[in-house]
Amino acid sequence: MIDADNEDLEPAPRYDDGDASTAGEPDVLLDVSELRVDKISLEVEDLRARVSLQADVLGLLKLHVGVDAELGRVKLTIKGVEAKALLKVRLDNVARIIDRVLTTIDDNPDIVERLLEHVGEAVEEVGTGAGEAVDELGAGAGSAVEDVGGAVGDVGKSAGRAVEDVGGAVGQVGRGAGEIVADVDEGAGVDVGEARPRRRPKEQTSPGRPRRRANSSGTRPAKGSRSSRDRRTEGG
Amino acid sequence: MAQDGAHRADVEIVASAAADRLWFETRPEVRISFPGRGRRDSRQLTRRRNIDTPVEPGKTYRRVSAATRISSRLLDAD
Repeated sequence: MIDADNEDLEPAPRYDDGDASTAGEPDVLLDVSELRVDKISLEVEDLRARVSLQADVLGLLKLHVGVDAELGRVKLTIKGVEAKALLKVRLDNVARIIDRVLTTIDDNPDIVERLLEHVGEAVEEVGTGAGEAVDELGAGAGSAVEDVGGAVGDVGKSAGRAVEDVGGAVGQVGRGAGEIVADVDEGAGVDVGEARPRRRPKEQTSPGRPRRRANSSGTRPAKGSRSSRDRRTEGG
Repeated sequence: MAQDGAHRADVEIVASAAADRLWFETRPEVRISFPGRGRRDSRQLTRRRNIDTPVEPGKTYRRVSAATRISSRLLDAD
């Protein structure tokens, strides 16, 4: 690598008068030709610019040329900025190298024949490997199906147990519901008793039957009456 | 930019900037590399104006400019 400061270089936009154009247009160009910013406060970490060119010709030629510029970490303030940036790729040199390779192949076609022999061997190896893989896959699939069968059996057993459990739970719910109803009746009886302390026990609603709630005076309000409407309003 | 025929890059990054004022809080970490395969001619050219090398954090630089050209070219096998 040559790192020299005395060679010609792309000029900065404002303080130099050099021509930014280069001899021969690039095949790929990313041009940020003019960027002007009054003030930048910049804090960056791992900013990276990369240009890479890669070309392969069979197994004969592998070309790769690249440039990486990486700004690990920087924190700066800059005022009155003018900047520009160019990324360029030229293919003529690579094309010329590839052309020479192809010319060599033209002149020596046995090179390709030898390459194809190697390719044939590689394909055979791939075929053998694929066959083995399919065999293993088949065996694996068979055992997986067996496992699935076992799992289905287990599911069936579990489902049966679950149904049994549900049946038991339903029975318990039924018993629980009966207990709740009994509790409701007892509670309702107490409320009514408090509302109507003078009423005899035999006038209370018999257990297990639905009943209307009594008001605080012990009398049921008339339909559409004020107190009834008020109560509904208060109740929301 | 003048380019001699011996180094007409296959790939290159060219950047330049000028500013009235420049102030670094930390010294920048810059890394340049040339990934590839085969014989290559790779170059990094940098020119600065009114900026120390390396830069001094906390110092204000005025009327600054910087330009860099990073390039690489495959060399044909003889």
